[in-house]
Amino acid sequence: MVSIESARKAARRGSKICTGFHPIDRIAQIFDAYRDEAARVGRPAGPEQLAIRRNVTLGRDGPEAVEISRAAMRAYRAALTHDPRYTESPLPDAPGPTHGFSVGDDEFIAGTGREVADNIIAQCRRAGAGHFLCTLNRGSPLDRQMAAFELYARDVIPALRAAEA
Amino acid sequence: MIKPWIFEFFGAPGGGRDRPVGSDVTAEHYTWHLDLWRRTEAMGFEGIFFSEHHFGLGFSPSPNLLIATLATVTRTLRLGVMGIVLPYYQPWRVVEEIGMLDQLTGGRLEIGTASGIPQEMERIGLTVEEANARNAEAIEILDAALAAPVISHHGKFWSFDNLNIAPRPVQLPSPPNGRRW
Repeated sequence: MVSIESARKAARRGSKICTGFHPIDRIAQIFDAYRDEAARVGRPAGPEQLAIRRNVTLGRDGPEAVEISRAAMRAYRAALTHDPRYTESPLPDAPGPTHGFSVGDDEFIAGTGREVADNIIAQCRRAGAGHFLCTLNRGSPLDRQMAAFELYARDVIPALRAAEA
Repeated sequence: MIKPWIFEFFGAPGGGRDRPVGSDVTAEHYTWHLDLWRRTEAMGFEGIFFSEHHFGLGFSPSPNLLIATLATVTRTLRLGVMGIVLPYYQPWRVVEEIGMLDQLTGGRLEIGTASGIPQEMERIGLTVEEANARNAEAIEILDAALAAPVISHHGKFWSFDNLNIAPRPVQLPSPPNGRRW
């Protein structure tokens, strides 16, 4: 789900939606369109119907996490060049392919548990999302991935569950 | 509350694109991840969404098999696919599997669908236009079958009468609680 057109269609048929890739301001536009269309067809929607998906990197400290995340972002963008919908020049307000997408800096969230939690909560509030899907430590060795899951469980999940969307 | 989910891309070891991976490495990869996913229930995650990718991009071309496996070792974790690539399948069969998986998970299934990604469609000679048309028609069938146990349909790609779709999902009127992804 990467376009306003698809979001409106989903609202008409009563499906929930999840999106990623885009900068958060673009996601907020997509979710606004979804909420508007859902209200128009008499099926009001809120945070329970909306999810954001992001890549999240946790490290022993913030700088380490950012360094790992930057490497993952480069690899991710390189892999996406195979997708004809992908553009490397994100201009959210410019007209473009109906279903095109870019990878904004908001896509990669990195830092300590507290920093990551604050970033996720801010993005969810900006767009009005009640669900957050994370891909944790993409590209890291398995032992680092396991450590990231444990950190996320300890430092991020309680903050998300305590937050208001 | 913001519900915390995992989006599991489940990439092949070492990136995997167009490179064969040995069976021993593959087995170890599955074992390690199945143990991780089982543990995420106690970690407090709401659930896991698996991706569906083909031809080496990921290691879950049939994510429903992962859901069926995890159903036996978890109790509260919600499980789903984000999303089932509808243009690749017979939609009546997708709904049959949804019914089975919702039963096997005890009503913990999340339904997510997708039209697929162009670089995978191209590998099997499917255009984006046809995939989008198949996706739209498959969604019609999916929604009809989740709403009623016996369905008829006459469209461009599928045509049938009085199909009895069984088993029915635990979650009524359809998982998850009437609204799918």
